[in-house]
Amino acid sequence: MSFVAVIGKDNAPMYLTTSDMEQELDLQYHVHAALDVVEEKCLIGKGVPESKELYLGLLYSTENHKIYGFVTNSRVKFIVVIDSSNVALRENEVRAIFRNLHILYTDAVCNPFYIPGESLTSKKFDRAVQKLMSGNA
Amino acid sequence: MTIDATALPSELLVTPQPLIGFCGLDTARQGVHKAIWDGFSGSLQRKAADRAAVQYKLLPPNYEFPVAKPKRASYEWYHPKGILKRNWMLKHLHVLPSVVVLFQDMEWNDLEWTEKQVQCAATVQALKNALQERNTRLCLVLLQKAAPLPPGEDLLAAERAASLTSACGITSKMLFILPHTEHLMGYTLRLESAFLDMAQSYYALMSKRIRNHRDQLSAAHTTLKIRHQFKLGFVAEMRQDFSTAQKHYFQAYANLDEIRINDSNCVEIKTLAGFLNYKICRLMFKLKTPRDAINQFIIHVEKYKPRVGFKDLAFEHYAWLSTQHSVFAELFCEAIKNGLPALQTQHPGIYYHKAAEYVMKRRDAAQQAFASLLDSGEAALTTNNPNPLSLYTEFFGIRAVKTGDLVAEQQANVQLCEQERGYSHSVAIIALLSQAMAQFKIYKCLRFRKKLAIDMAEEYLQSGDHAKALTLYSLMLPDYRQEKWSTIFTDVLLKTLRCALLSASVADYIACSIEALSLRHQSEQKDRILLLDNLWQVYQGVPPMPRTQLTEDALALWTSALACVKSPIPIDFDKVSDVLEMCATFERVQLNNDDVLQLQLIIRVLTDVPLRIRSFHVVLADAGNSQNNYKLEALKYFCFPNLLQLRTQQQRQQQPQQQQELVDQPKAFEKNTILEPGSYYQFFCSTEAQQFHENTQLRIVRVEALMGTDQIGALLTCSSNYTRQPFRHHTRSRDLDDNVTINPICYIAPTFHLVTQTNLGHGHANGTDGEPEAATRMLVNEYYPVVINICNPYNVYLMNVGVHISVPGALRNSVFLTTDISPGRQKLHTQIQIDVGELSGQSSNTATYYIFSLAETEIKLQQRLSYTLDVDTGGAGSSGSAGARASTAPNSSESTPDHNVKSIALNLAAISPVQIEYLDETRLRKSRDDTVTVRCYSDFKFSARFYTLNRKPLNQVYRGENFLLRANTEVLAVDDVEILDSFFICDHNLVQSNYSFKRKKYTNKYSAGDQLESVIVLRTNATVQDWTTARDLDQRGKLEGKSSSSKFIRRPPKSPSEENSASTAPTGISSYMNKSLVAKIPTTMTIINSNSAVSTALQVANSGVMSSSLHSEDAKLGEDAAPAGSPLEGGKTTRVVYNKALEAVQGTGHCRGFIKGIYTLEENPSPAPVFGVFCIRWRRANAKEENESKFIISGLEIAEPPLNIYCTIEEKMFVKMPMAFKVVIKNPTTHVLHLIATLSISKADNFICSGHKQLDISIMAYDEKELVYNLYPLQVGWQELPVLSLEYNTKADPQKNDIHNALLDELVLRALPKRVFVLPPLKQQTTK
Repeated sequence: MSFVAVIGKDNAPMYLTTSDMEQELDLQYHVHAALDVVEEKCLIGKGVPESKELYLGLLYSTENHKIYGFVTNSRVKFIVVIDSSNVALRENEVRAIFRNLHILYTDAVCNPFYIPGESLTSKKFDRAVQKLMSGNA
Repeated sequence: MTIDATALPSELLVTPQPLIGFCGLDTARQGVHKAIWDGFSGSLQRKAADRAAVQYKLLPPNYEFPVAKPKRASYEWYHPKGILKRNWMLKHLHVLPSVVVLFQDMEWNDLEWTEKQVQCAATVQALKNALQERNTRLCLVLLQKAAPLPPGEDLLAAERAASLTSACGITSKMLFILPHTEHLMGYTLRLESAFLDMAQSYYALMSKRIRNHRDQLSAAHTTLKIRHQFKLGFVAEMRQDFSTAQKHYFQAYANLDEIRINDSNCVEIKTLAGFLNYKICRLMFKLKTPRDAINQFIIHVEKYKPRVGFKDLAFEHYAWLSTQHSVFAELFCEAIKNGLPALQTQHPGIYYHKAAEYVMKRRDAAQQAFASLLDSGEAALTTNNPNPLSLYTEFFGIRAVKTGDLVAEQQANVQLCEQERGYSHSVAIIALLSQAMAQFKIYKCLRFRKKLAIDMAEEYLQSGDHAKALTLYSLMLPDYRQEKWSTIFTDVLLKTLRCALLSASVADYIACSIEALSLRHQSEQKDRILLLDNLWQVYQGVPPMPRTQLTEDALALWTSALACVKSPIPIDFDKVSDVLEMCATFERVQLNNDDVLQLQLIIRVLTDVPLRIRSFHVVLADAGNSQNNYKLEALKYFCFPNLLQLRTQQQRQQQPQQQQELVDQPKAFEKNTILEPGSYYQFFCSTEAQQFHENTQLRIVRVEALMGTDQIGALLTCSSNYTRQPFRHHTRSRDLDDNVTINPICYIAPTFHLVTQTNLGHGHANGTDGEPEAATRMLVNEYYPVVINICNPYNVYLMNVGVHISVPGALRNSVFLTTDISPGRQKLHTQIQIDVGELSGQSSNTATYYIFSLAETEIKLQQRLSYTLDVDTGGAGSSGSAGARASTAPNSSESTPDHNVKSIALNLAAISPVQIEYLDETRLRKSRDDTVTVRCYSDFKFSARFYTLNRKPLNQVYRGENFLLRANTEVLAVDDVEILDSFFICDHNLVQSNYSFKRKKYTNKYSAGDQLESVIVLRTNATVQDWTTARDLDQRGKLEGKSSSSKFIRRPPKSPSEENSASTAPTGISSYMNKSLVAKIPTTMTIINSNSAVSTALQVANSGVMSSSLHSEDAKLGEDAAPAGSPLEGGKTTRVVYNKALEAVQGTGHCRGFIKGIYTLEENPSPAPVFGVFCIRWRRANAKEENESKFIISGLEIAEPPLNIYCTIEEKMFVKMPMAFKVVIKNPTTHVLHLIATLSISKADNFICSGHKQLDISIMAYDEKELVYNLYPLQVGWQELPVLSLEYNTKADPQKNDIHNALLDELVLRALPKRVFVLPPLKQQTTK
């Protein structure tokens, strides 16, 4: 797993981290572009409000990366970039990653000193995400 | 050979179609031939849809067909040099026809038939020779002028056709006739299908032959197998058998795997694989299996991606990959055009993008290869290689280099590298990217598209086209700015800055530099300092960066760009965030237009480098008229390290004067003052509010900061004001939230130049102002003066000053206004306009008017003051000079009441009572509405009752009967009044006589509570129905019809309960009356100025207009429901007003019929008639104006009596003086009355009586009979009179009975007095 992004409901990033500093900009561009797909998927989801599936699945893949998406009910998006070469991470594992990420996010947001919409600066959250990233990478 | 890797041959890309050759057609010279050719080749009307998939080729007379190769008996030792020959596809597509058609102009009945036949046979033979070893079909078409006869009828034709076919050696099936008549189209279509059949059989045969070859192949002939499969596929495509074609191609593709790939054959294999993949994908799309096509492509790319081949020629591999992608993308596009729906995640753009990426890789690889080439020093060796064509062979993907010859291979590689250098990668990349962008846009991937645009810009930048790169980057900047991805944005911004630097775009350079100063961009402070240094260099007209770092070209560009830069460069600071925070606020939310407008500007530098700002301006605009812009410059400022200080400063300023000295004076703003980071700056602007329009709302449009020098500067404009965010941390010392109130709008309140004082009541009329407490109360029926004192305290000359007063609609019927109460011209109005004229500065004037009310109520008059005024618009539009103007005008706060500022934005007109109208450029009219409230009190309380002559309450009047009216008046007015006169004007129907002959004199002043009484004797002339005689009607019609001015209104009597409350709560009455007026009186009374129709005589006598109203003072007690003890109220009295009633009666020539107009105008007139009007003339004590209060006396029912009895006795009776007791009995009926009159003296010692004791009388119709008795009173004091009783003479008139007698008794009782007071004898008598 090389990139984790938490993106607010107005599509501004709230938290970005990567294990691959060299490609950070490139990855950011990719994740940013992936929002197109997220938006499109959410738009379709609007028609069927009942079957609210938070996990959006594979958004798109490039030569080297696979980009997965997840959107919470409050339209906060999680995007995870996984190296294409990594075959250990299958659909189920990715789902689990997102679930964990969601829990971490809700914990961070529950902090009374956190201001909704601001970027996530919690060290605890950062540490946990780094751990999640390295643990599964 | 790069050609094989970079592009697919065009013959591969087209759909193969059977080729049919035409010869013998001379299209250039013969029109018929041309028409036929056009008919076939489809350049005429044939639609693409119904066009058969055929390709026609016009063969020239001596066309050389490719020579067939000798057939190989065995393939055992045959090793082909390549898989697919370069020319094979071309040959079958364009060169070798499947059918050759020979056209000949031959008529069956041609005279030279035999010669032509010979000639034709020769041509056929020549063709046959040329097509030796080929299976090409040959057929003959005869062009004839006439349509053929049905077969079997034309014997000549049959015979000649047979001979022709045998001569030419063709079967009869191969002979066609084409008549070129008007039905050419149909014939060509039929011929075409025949040709197509032949072509099909040709290609079928060809497939069979190829398959035969294949059977001979051994397992080692992989290349041949591939070739054959390809050929089979291609031919199948020719036959339009697509699924078979796909099968063959797929087989070929599979067979490719059997060949081991090494560096030398890699290109060939990949080329072929690319061809086959292309064909497969194309057919898959065609056969509507797009998923398979995409999968096939992905598998294909995955399979061959690692097959790079020669390391030196990696770029060739990338070129191939790029081509694969772009070609597939085109196929995909084609399929979409044919109706395939694509997805956001699966559309051609992705493949175009990948193709572009591979071109980038290709470029990188090429550069690498070239670099290594230079290193090895071989570049010089090969640059002048004379034969670049040596790289190609007749096979696809094979170079003309012997395999295994390392040196030759190396040479070829070097040669390829050289070639690659000449290739413009950027152009290719940009082209592919733009195609990809178009696709991404279609599939709603806008962010992807932006990324592509960035890639494209980068490509432009790399290729040296800085201007285009800059355009693209600056287009993308706002998008990414909005997205708030700071890393990406920083990247884009810095690249834009770089582009701007390289292309010497001053405006962009400055804009980007300023934006890059923001702390949000992850860079060091020293970078920002560098940026700032460069920025100032640009401001000073010097190119940025150390000169050495810029190329000569760039320097030249900069010099010319700096020379012609348009300064200042506007920069929208609403978008550029986090460099400078600017917000502006009005000091006060409302100003009078003679105040000084003050604005505050709060500026903070958000970055960590100091900024030098040349000047600050605030631009204001009228809310109503946004074209009017005003620009104010900030001149003074304070600087604070933190905001708390700003707060304390503001508080201190609000404190009283003595502490003001402690306040620091603001520093004057100098040009290019340095704003330190982290500090707050508070700037002040001020101007006179006079230059703005009154009654407008000023809005801060934007704040402008000018940065730079005189030559070049940047204008930072910020139009969005400070907004508080819903959620955020804030520090009191740092953030504006708590410390500053922002007033984005300011209301310029208008000044009203007039001050008015209204004095009510008497005593002020002479102009000497009296004490307010001395104001008299207004009374009903009184002309109540109101004096307005209009004062202009300003040094302004006002014109057309006027007061307009109007009565509110609810009171229109009862309250009137007038300005003139001189006896001759009393006109009442509901609205009046008093023109005061001109008022020069510091002067005043008065206006007087009178209110007249019929109702005791609270009167709210609407008073509207207006004037016109010259305005100087000198200050508007230009930036005002600073400094407070010496205010000469007094504080006008009393004329401009305080408004609720919060509602300013809603509606200006609603807020300000002052209305401003612009008459023209220089004059405006201002007006203001006020209300004047006057409470009107009652003057008199009036009640009247009817009695019989016997002083019994009367509830029914008989015609011709005398009765009494007793009118009681009580003075209610608080102030003393003098009653001048009182009189009763009765209706025509009534005859009035005084009860006593004493004329009542009113001499005293009466004050509240005093009571007056007058008694009047009345007699009716007719019953109700007969009242209005023709003459009366006539009179009334004259009166009313001519002067509609006099309308009368009568207020319905109130119920007893309200009467009770009325006396205690006057407001209750008034409100009730208002209500009842509105509810019950449909006719509104107007008395204004409509006297034109009134006869002049009437006008003179009548003082113009009469007005009337009723005032019901007394409860309408039901005639039969009167309380037992109280005297039965005979007449219900209502009060009415005429304007000088007596004169009015005189004015109408004593035709008092108008009184009935009072009730005829009522909606449902009460049954009782109006008997008349009781008038009281009165005036205030010590006042001159006479007023008149009128009360309508509503009468009783008038019944027709069986007879009238009048009794006459002396006024005074004395003892022992005989007197006549005369009773007149009148017969008002048309019948003869037979009566028996009996006089009975109950007490014989009262009187001595003489006359008929009993008398039978008969009275003829309308006749009367007099009964005279002489009475001689015997005693002094109250004496009972003898009782006269009447009864019908039943003998003479048998219809009458006792009931009628009872009525007679009652009449007698009513009419005849019971007792008389007998006076003692007169002195003379007694002395006698």
